[in-house]
Amino acid sequence: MKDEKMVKFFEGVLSKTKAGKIPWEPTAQEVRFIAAIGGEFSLSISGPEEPVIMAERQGEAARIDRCTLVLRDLHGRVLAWVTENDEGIRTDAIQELYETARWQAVHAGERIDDALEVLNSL
Amino acid sequence: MSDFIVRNWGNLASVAGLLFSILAFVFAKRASKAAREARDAALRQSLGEDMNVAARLAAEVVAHLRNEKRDMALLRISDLMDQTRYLVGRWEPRLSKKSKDSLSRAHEQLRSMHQALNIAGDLTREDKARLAQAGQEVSGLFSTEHGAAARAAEAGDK
Repeated sequence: MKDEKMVKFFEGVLSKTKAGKIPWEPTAQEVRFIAAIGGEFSLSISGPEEPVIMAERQGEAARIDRCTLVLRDLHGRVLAWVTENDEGIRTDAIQELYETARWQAVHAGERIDDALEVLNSL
Repeated sequence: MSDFIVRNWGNLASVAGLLFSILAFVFAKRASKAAREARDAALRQSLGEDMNVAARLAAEVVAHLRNEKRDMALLRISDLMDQTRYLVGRWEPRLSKKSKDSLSRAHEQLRSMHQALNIAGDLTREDKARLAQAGQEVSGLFSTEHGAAARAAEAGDK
């Protein structure tokens, strides 16, 4: 029952993200993106840190080594914690969620258009 | 005329009593409305003051980040996370959906800033830039909420 709900929740976040309905935004951490929804909840998605960043930060206690989606209530309490190790969650699906959220949060599409313009002017 | 009064004094007294009761009811209703408006105005003022505390803490965070005072920034971030929890706990029923989303976003940004500052070793230039941007974002969110609360208080006063 719990796993079914988690899978349903994850799939809901993925489909709404793909539809551009979740306002993902960047944070102080390169591999973490957040969104507030419905005046009641917040979402955060964290991706794996690049090897070079991890190597620079030897000794960091809570190193992120996989994609993690966290749902919190308005009071900051964790309601759900989804990783690729959870039953029914495909690794490629959570990576797709992370990549789509990142793309939207950093406005990658527009920035790449700008880069293309620069390239064309060279 | 005096005969009429003498004959109907009982009825006249009842009518006068009824009129006084209606007037008393109207005045009590007005007094109750005024008291309710005064209480609402005081609450709006108080929400504005609480948002102002948060906005000032956020400005301090930005200043400490700019001056690279990492420990002080961490301290103020913790204070601001506590203040955000207090704001939600105290004012949740009176906050709009948009305000609640803003407080959620601020809380998440602060959590991320705390983790980013808590890592061992020096921060890279990119880390500092992201922290500065997140700090500005949080400061902007609280300033906007403070402004909205002040506007609501003023609108209530008029």
